Amino acid sequence: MTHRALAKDFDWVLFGAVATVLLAGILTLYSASRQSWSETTATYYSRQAVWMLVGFCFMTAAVVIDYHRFVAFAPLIYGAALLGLIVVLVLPSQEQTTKRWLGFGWFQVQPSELCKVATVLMLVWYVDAIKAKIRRPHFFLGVVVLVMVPLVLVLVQPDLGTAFLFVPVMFAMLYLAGSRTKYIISLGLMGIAASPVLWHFLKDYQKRRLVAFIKPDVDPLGWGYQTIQSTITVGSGKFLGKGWLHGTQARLNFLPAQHTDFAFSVFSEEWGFLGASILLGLFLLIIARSVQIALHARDFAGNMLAGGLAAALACHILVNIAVVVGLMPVTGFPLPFVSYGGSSLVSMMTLIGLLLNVRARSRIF
Amino acid sequence: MEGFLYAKHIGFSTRLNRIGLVVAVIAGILVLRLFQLQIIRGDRYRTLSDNNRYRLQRLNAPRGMILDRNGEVLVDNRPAFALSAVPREMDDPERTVRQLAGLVAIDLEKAVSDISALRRSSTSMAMHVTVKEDLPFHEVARTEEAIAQLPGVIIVSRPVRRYVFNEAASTVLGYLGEIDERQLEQFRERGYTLGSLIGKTGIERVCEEHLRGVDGGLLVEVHSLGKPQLVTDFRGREQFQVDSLGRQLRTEYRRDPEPGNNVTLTIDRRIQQLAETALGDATGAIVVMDMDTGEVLALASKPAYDPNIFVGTGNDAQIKELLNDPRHPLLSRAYQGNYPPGSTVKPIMAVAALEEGAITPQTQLACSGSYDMGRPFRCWRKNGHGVLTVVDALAHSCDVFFYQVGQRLGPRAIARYFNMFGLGESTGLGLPGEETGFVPTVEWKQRRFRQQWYAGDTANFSIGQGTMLATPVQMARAFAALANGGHLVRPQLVRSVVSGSGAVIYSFDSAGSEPLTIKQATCDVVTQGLRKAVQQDTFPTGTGYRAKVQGIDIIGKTGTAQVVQKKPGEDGVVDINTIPYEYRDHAWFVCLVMDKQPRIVVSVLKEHSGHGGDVSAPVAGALIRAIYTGEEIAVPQVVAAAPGSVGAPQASGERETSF
Repeated sequence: MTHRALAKDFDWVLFGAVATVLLAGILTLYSASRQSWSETTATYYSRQAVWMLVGFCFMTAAVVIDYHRFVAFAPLIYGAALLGLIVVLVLPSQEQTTKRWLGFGWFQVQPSELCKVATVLMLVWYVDAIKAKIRRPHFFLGVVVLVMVPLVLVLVQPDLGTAFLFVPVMFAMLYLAGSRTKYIISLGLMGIAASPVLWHFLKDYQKRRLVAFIKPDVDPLGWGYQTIQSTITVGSGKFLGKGWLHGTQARLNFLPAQHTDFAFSVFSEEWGFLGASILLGLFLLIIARSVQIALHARDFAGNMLAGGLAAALACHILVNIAVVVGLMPVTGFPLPFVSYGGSSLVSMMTLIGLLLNVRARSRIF
Repeated sequence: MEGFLYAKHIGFSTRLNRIGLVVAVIAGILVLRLFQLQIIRGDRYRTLSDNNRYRLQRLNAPRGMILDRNGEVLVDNRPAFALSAVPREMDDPERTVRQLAGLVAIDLEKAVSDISALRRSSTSMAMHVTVKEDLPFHEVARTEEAIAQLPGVIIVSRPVRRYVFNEAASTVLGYLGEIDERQLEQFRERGYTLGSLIGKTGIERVCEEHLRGVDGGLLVEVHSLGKPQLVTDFRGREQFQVDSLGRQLRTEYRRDPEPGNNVTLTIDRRIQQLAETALGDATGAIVVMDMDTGEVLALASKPAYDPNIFVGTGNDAQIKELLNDPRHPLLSRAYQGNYPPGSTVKPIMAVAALEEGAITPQTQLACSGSYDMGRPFRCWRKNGHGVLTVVDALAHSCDVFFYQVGQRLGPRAIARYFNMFGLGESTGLGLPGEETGFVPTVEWKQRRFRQQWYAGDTANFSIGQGTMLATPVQMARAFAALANGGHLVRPQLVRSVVSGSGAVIYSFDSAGSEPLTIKQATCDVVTQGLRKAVQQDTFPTGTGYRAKVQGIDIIGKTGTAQVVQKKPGEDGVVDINTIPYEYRDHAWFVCLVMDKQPRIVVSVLKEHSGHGGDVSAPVAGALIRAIYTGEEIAVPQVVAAAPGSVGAPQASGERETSF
């Protein structure tokens, strides 16, 4: 595969859209950090820039190396990701009860972020290996198990939001892989039936989050507050927004975690309906391009890889925005390319790299 | 099937497109929502975010009470006012704080640094920091007067902890302190914030989750120009806030705090205080436990302290003094003090010997005052006890008898029985920092000192001296097993936990005892010996004679734990007053009350006080009398016995002896 051929089939539209979104992210982060009194958040935008460079390296690697290699090594990558999750749980030096990060001083890694891509890769490997056999219940369940293992490990951290994300991606990939529809529906029904049991296992504060969402006045001190504040922030942008660097909500620290989960709030406040719609449009463009790549991939592995990654992207984006505008309870995971978070940035950029990879090799020789 | 064809076969494109459609629909909903928020409601939200601010005020939940077994309140809360600062509403925090310092005695530097910390924190949801707790009323008044010139300063009602009986049971109850950063990270999700109080030791810490209620909150819309004042409605609830111009602002949301649960202990306040009085000025511990259920009626330790000094601020000097006190009043000798048990292990030795067949109840062994094992090991009684059976050996605490028994058993069997009776392991009391004592083994000595186990080690082992260690609670538990039919009970401190509305969350049932595989007949023989030790009133009386109380069946064992070897004076007697305090022996007495309900075990330990029979036995006796007659306690003075007097144990001071 010559480099020229690579360049010809490189999806510049996708790349361009991602680059624009990244820019929007940095601008928003800069604005939020200027507003905040906190000394730590003030440096976030510069750290994000560094992470972008790291992400760019990973992305390049993800494009240049044939995706079939990645798929072939999927079990190894998956295993390493699971190991990362286990290490994070088991490491006693962690002081927080929410065990999400492996910290090396300034440098913090979130294994659950990396696990998302690893799981998709693993599923692709599995599904490509069995192909039509997925119509049989044992193999169908094989997919479920492959997803459940990281899901449970993440849930135990406890990270309800990220764990929750695995579910729609699983369903999407099951569907795309050609499973019988009735199996998928049964799985869905079983999940719904099991939810009272799951409710029991939720920690108090997680339950409160869900309840607070439905009735914010039940917990004004807690998560109901975040939802209220976020809707106000978004709404206060009106049509044209308050202008870059003129957001006020974050300045008053009304938006806890304004640089992570609620970055879209800050963006909407400053750029208004116009800006928010355009950003949303860019995200949709990214998703649409991913779908295109999936449709025109050279082989089934490529189909599934691109399709799975597109599903993952879509879930992240739609859920985060839904939370920010108050349509879903607070989940606590970031908006791709915009929210502050090294691990998220790197894994998302790697994801894009893989998509570009599939696209670049989709011409049949 | 080939990949490419397979995809076509399953209709991959159709499937993907369908998913794409779902995504598009959801995206459409999001756009509509944006439209709703930003266009339709845009003006309203703009106003809200520009002109007005929210203040989140925490309504502290009252902490649960701690009660004694009869429902008497040991720890509760009393109303108090705290001075708080809301950094968000302060334009110039340093100036305001300085002004405040002119009116009220506060820690200026701490206040300024706490305010900056809150401003710097990007994730804290708390909006105010406590500057001073438990304000005296005149300071409340002064602050309120000047409140208009102090933006961001508020007075908050914040009940504080009250330890009703001051020093009583202080080492059991524990105290509260401010949560530290590490704990805050760990427990943040449970609702703690900067400045929250959390149990640091004792029951306050062990039952923290139960005692702590759930804080409530008030979300109030604050007009940026006004200075809101609180107005309560007819039900006493804070409803409306008004600004300085009298305009009403809304309480957006309110959640009432949930009070914590009340914890009822097994401790009996009266008995606890009696035990503490019985110890007087000495350093030591008394444990009173129900021998059948394991309920702890008293866990006394002296010196004690008053947990009320940890309440509020301003007692820093006293706290520092407490922490630096060389007598360590914050430690409980009852379960954190390790001492060689001395002769109190002899009953267990007797059980071991009888069970293993090393002796029978009729076996007679001779004591001439010393026993030759390479070098002479002495008995506390210089001239020996003559020929004794095991019952008499217990009553008179003959060392030589037990040297011989120990030789027959060997160190492994001895260690096995000690461990069986719970020595060397945690009792399950549940209080933090419990010590577990120590039972040496042959392997341990090899590892630690690179020496083999000698016969002399066995001799010391047999009479509870040397490297062996035990806590008063462990001894109480071991003795209980002798008398209650061979069950090793688990000491219980918490009787029940009941919520504010009366729902029972936890109730203790007499679970958790391990039956020991020893014969009842063996226990009977041993208890006979213990009875004789206390109740024999003809010559020669037992070593525990001074614990005897008319009309109560008390049985027990004395013990004297050596700290160092002492040199006897010319007449063979050691005068305790000539020995420095730290070198004096510890005095043990562990006894059981067999004929009253509840049947109790009393374990008394007085540090560096001399012989168990002289010092601790009378304390136990006085305590038991006071418990069952309801009278005040009358602790007899310790009289140094003249050598040769009837029934009084010889002060011997010879090495490796005890009684």
